[in-house]
Amino acid sequence: MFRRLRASWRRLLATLGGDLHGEREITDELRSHLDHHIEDNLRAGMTRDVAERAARVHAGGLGQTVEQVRDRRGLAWLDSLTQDVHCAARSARRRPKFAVVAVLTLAIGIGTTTALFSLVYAVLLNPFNYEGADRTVNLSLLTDTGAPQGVFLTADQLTQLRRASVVEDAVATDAFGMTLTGGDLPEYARTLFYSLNGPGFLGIRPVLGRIFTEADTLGGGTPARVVILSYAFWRSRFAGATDVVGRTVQLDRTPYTIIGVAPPGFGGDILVPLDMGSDPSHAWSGGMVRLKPGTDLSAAQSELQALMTGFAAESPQRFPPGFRVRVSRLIEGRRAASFALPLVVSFAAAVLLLVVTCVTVSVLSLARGAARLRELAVRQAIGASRWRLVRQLMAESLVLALAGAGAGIAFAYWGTPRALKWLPPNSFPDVAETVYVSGPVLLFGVGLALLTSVLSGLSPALTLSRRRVGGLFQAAMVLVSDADHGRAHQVLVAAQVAFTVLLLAGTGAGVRSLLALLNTPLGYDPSNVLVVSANLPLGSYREWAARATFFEQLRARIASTPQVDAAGMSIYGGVPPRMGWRSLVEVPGRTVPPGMHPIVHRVSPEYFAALRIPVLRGRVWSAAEGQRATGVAVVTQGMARAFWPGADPIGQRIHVPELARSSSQFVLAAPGADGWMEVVGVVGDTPNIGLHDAPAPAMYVPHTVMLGDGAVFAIRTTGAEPLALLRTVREQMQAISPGQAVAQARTAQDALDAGGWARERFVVFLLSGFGVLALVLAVVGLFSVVSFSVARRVREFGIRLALGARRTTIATLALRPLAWSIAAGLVVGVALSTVANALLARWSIGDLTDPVVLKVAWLVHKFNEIAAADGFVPIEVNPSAGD
Amino acid sequence: MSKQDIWQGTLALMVLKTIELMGPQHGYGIARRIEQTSGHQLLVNYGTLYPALLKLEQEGYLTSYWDTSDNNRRAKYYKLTRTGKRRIEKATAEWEQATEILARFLSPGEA
Amino acid sequence: MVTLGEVLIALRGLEKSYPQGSGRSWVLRQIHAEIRAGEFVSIMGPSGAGKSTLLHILGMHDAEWDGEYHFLGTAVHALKPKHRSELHKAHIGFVFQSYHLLDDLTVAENLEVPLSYRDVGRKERQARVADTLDRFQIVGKKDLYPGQLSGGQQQLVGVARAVIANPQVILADEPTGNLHSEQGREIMELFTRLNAAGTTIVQVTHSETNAAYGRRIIHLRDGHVVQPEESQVHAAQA
Ligand SMILES: Nc1ncnc2c1ncn2[C@@H]1O[C@H](COP(=O)(O)OP(=O)(O)O)[C@@H](O)[C@H]1O
Ligand SMILES: [Mg+2]
Repeated sequence: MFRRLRASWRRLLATLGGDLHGEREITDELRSHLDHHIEDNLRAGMTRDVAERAARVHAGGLGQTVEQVRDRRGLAWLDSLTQDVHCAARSARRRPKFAVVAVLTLAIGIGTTTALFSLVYAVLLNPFNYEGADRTVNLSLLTDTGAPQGVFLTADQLTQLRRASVVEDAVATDAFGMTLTGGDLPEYARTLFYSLNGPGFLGIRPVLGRIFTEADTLGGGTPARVVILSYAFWRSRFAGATDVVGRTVQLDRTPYTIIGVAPPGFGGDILVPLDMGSDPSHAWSGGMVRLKPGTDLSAAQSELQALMTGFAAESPQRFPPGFRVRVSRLIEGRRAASFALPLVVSFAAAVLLLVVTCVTVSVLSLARGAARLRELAVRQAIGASRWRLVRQLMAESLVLALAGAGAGIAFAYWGTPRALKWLPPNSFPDVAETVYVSGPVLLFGVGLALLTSVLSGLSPALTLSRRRVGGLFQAAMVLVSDADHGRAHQVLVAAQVAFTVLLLAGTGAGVRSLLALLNTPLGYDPSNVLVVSANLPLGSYREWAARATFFEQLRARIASTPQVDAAGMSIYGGVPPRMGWRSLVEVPGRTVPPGMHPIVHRVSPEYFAALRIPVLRGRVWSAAEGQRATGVAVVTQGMARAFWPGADPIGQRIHVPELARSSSQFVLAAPGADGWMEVVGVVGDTPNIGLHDAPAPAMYVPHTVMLGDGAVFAIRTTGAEPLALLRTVREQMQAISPGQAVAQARTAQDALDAGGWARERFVVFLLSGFGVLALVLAVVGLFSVVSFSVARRVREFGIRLALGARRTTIATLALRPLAWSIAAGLVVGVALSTVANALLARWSIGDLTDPVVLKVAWLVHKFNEIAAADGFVPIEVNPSAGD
Repeated sequence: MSKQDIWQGTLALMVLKTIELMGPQHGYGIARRIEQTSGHQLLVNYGTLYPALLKLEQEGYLTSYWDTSDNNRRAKYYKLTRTGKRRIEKATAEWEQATEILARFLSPGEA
Repeated sequence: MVTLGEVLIALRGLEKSYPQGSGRSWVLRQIHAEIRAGEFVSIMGPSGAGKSTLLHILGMHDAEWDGEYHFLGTAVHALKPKHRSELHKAHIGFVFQSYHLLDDLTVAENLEVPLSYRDVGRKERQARVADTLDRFQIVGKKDLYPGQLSGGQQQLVGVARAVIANPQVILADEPTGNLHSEQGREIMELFTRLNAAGTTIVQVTHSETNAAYGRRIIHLRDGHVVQPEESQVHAAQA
């Protein structure tokens, strides 16, 4: 038996390797024969020529032999395989009920697993369809405290970097929004800037037109005004028009020519050449480097360290003292990101569900096998070997699995994009563009089908093919229990219960963690708040006063709109659950512990009213103070506790060096700003570094202290649906500044969703879905097992009923053999959950061994038993006639 | 029975017997040995040998594996299975019986 | 190579029992019998005598019994299941009392199955199926499913399936039990022709007429082989 299995396996491998009829093997064998012969001839003293010829003549025709052997070998097994598959398809057609249930069950398992795999593949396994993506690294700097920081280079330094010996090529990049005018209202376009070699570096093969290259200059190093549209933007903004190439668009009031459309997967809305200028004071992020093939990371690291140290001597202000160069593969960033673990956990859950579906189909096939014992016995009686029966049964499960895979993959193909629409954008990067059932995913699906056919078919095949012919032809035998059969069933049921418990435990844990998330006090009121961001056209309002006035005009105009209750403003950072950024601070008379960087958030005084953040002590600065950029600050309760424990924070002074001078061309510090702030009030904490972490100590300062080139408005409505106000708000902005676009508009609730609620909900939704499906499958499986055992004992039960037994008694009788399986399954399931819990401890989800979770699992199985017990009554009994 | 069949049938027995005597052998070794034993009256070429080996393997009388031969070449070795051994006993008996009967026909005087 | 008259089946002290309560209930006891190649034997006896049990043992469907069973000189009782199945595949054709055709397959496919289990090539398989359909005059039924045939027609297919692989011996359990006498006669004549061509036939039958086609009768009673006189004595007592 195992010899045959091994031989078939080898043949299958040969087939998969393209050696359908063992042709390569036989050719090898004949070649070796000939070589041996020639060697003998040589040893006998012939010259090589003669030796070869003699051997050839002696051996006879090679081609013909290969053919003969191929016929014998290939066709025999192909022939019986086609026969088996044909027969399997026929039997499925003649018993459609079983086939439909089995195929649907497998389709669920394969479909969900494939769908999630397509996500995993697009997000984690192959997210960068760049050329040489595996050699592409992110270049960053680590400060002496270990904090990462970007690399900024001048045009000249980039040229040097590109010439470094370990470097194949490098690009400078930047990303911010530009305003696209020409439509009904101005529109915001997420713009990716690349040095002219960028599109070539990334290996973008345009679906329309061409990419820009180093030839696209206006002379003197200034790049041409050209733009490549991203695939998604081309579809949404230009309706996929094929004649976009050559059209002119206005970006920040400057005409640009569309030269091409990028394929999916490159992100952003548009790609524009980065103008690095020749001014050495201009620096650009030069973070993306492709190493030469075969370069190892540490070699690259040390060479680039030397290069960067040279750059640091030229422009010390852009390199922190004592920095170290860090080189990390692109993919590492992806895998370390916050979405990676939930995704992997969901995928694991889908795999678990797939296993449950396989076990279910095993149980079903086994139960159906009870009705087929006669057929199988007849087949053995007319000469089928056990091996042959196993093959036939495996062919049947293969047919079911392939049908299931077909349905499942179709389901994944159809369902994945739809399911992803439920997610707020950016839950997973760029999925909308790249997640689809691609070649590798399809291959994965087919692989799953093969795997499931083995998983779901092998155990029934081995059990059913066991030789037990004799008794089956005796009438009395048909209903008598069969120990082997029973044991296989019990093990399968136990496995099914165990995996279901594991899935349910996961679901329960997920639900609890979501609940915990939802129950966390927010410290503000996210309902009825519209959040709108607006960016200044590149290079406009370069004077602090003009910019401050312009922003305030916009804010006031919005605040005066009917149905608007309050309108606050902030610079960058926006609204909870993420806002501001960590800054270095100094407090007179205290040493701030290293690593203690509070969040500094720049806002207008109305911000607190708009978000309903409570003022606990002191006051918020006045509008007039705000206009003058007075050095005042409001701190959160957490900050007060961390920085001035036991002391009154009001009146304390704090220095934020970052706010003393403009750090880049995009921000404007207030004239005379020195970074000193006096604390005037204390407000409540709100989430500011994401929903999964407790709020960090934070301080609010007037936004005017350091103006950015964009502002975020938090607009509280008087109760109207926030997004319904969007058009009015856009028109108000137009009235002040024609051509002013809204970069992003969403509600504060959306921000919460994007900050993790939605992803968490999605994962919990998936897990609960899987849990419920597994439960249903467990019921289906138990039902079929119970009906199987009832069918075997129908006469006994009939007699007992006739003697006055109650139905519940019979149900207990019918279920007793399964009680042990269920109990064993529960125990194993709980044990597995404990192990999984240990593995998942890193993820902030609930405890899988939580007694509540297990209680739920236990209850569900109680319910299961009852359902199964009730289900046995309508079973048809069909005692077959024997000889 | 055609001529080919007889040849195939007896060749199978020769192959099995050769492997029984010599232990696991590759195709070339088997061919040489048969030719030697027959005093070079038989010529065994690919076309007769390899289909016969494959048939015996498919019938479960032989198994095969790749290995390096004495002179350090890769070669496919054939090994007798337990069924194969039984097959030899049975076939030998049958063969003896058949030749004996045939002998009686061919030289009736001696009977 | 089988010479006429060679011992095909030899049974010595064959016994079969089922566990019953704390003891065992015996179905076959101390069966001694010999059947030579080329014979046409009928097994007779009252219902429950153990005839089917014996035939299934001979057909090597049943492996749980005691005693000795030699088939063509091979000790069946000492064989591993795998070799037993090879032996039975090579030499035996079985006709079941209740046909046991494969319901999902057409008549032609039912006939093809035993050949494919014997690794007969596709072309040859088709040729032999066509040939057999012809011989049994059921060509017109070849694409029907067993459910669409009458009992007699099904049994005819059952017999055809048993002979198609040219077995050396045919074991038939009440092959005409469900047939009317005309159909029964056809099958008996078929057996006679096969027997004349060298096939050994062992059939279980209740009918004296059918038994008369054979040359010898083994009488079975309560699991014992009995001599004809004994059998008649028993019959008279009954
Ligand atoms: N699985 C079984 N368990 C117990 N007794 C059985 C079993 N199968 C058959 N028998 C008994 O064996 C005896 C012989 O049965 P069988 O060979 O079918 O008789 P026949 O074919 O001669 O009518 C009967 O008494 C029957 O009850
Ligand atoms: Mg009977």
